[in-house]
Amino acid sequence: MTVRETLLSARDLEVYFSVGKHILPGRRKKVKAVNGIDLKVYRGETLGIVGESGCGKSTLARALLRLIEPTHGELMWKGENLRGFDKATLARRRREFQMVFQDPSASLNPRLTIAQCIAEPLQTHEPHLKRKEVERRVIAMMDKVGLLASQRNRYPHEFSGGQCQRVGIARALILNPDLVVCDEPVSALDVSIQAQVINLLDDLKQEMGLTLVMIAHDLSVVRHISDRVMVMYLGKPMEVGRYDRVFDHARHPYTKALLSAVPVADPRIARHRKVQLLPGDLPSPIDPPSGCVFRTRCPEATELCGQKPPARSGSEEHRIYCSNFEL
Amino acid sequence: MTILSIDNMSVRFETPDGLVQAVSDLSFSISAGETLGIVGESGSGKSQSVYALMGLTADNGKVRGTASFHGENLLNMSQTELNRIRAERISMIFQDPMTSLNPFMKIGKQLSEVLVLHKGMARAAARMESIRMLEAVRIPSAKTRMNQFPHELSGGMRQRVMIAMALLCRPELLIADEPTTALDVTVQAQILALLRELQAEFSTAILLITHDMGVVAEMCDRVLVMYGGRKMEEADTDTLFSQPAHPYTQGLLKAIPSIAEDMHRLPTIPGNPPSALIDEQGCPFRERCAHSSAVCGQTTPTAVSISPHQLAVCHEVAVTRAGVTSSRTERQVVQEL
Repeated sequence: MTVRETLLSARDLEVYFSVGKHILPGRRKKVKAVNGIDLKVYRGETLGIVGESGCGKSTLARALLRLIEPTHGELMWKGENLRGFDKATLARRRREFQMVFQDPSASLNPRLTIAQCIAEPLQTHEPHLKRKEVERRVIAMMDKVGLLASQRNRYPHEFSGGQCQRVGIARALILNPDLVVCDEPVSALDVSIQAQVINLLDDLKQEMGLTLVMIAHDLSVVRHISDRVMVMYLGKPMEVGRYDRVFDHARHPYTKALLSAVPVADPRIARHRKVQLLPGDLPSPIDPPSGCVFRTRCPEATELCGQKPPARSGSEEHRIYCSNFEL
Repeated sequence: MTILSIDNMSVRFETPDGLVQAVSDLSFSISAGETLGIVGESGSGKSQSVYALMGLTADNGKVRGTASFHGENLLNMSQTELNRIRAERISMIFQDPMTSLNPFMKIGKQLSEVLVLHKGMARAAARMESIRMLEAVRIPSAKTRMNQFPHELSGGMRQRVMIAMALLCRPELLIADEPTTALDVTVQAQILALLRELQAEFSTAILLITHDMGVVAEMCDRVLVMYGGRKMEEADTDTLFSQPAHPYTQGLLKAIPSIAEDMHRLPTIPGNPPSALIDEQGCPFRERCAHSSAVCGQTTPTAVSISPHQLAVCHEVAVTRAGVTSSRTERQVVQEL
């Protein structure tokens, strides 16, 4: 196997939010949204991050790009300490890592034409560019994402959800970034449109040599688009590995339950398959269970799970965090 | 036994931008104890068609056609008559349980109010029955929950409360409008399992509106596919998934990524959904359809029966069914027949 360049890595990343009204900020309760995540993103790959609402995947996405300041942990970007960048450096380097958001119509400024939307990052990072050049690049980018040049003076409300998402993608890609973090890029779209946007992201990745981090709750979408996958639960990783290892040979009880819960669009299979129902609800991230955070709902939990953090086993290719199963 | 049959129902809205045709000439029926799925993408008219049934169409909307529930037309009933049927014989659960529960009222009061109003039960008895129903939908410590407000419950728990409320009067028909769309997959699995169990217990017919083909495959006996306010295909679930007849259904099924196997590239349906602004002639899907021809823009297709279990609303299907080679004039002949 060739040595792959690590583009972004995180070690023991934590993001805590203070809640409550205690007079001393240090004594306020903490929501542990991201609670100890290690990950590596290699150049040219697509890393999928899956988990249910409240598992901290969106917070993680934002923390990776320092859109939210991590509370603790190490972030390395191309071998440099990302958390050590000062404001000006960070602003300058942001062009290397961009983001695509979930709700395409809410993330576009309704008062800007789509050409202005797409041009904005370019004008911020390359203010010396001539207007003609900006326009040329905007039109080239619009063409790449499947928008017509003749639509450039229209406003976001004149577009459908799928087209707005194309604008969001164009805006993220116009600076030619190395890494694009997509936070639920297709979850607001209809199935037929969703397939178009997934194919578009795939094409652009090949064409522009992008590295993608895809946050999504739709497991089928993640399987389709990812090279590697991380499954999260309550701010912690459960299972990480190559997509086929995680999806076809899942070992962690949470991953298994998650996969079994996805409805299959085939009535012959749907009628006979067994769904592993998880009991109860997600515990509060303010006061997560001791030991393994999944143990309160885990069908395999033993007494041991509450006493110490889950054991880590496996390799880079496939790793699980569970004391009862080993790889 | 058919309990509800809808004939040529249309829903249109007058908006500042012009006339919006949300539903056109929709006909279908549902039998006792059956689960019928209505699938479609946003703007396909699936929600508006059931809102119309329940008398929930917004003030700027006009509903035409008939919807006969045990012989009575729901569409021209007065509010008083409708109130007698709603909740008692037909009830509904909505997509977002947070916005459909009253945030200022305790769960217990919201539930028992239904029984007090509709069944004339005494408060104490209504309360007992509500607790029993909360237990039936597997809410732990139901008694404590009765004294809590909706914001104190999780999303899945709130949806259970909605289901409990909808089933309190033992309706014959439960209309579920995207009941699990706002929920996570593991919670969705819980709620779907619960709906199936309750259906078996109370033998309620379910009209399930969803955009998720997986949910359809898991829950429904029969399916109706809608696009641009019109019915495209209607079939029993097995036939729809194994032999979809309409080009739209075929495209929709292919565009879903699989959880179990690798797919190299997703087949897509090109283009964007149509605007509902104008009530025009022709098939609403024609601009995105690989099989469309001139006739598709000229006349609105009518339903073609493929088997006793399947019908499609499509000119192309009509032509292939009639065994005529595809040339335009012959198509039109078929159309005139």
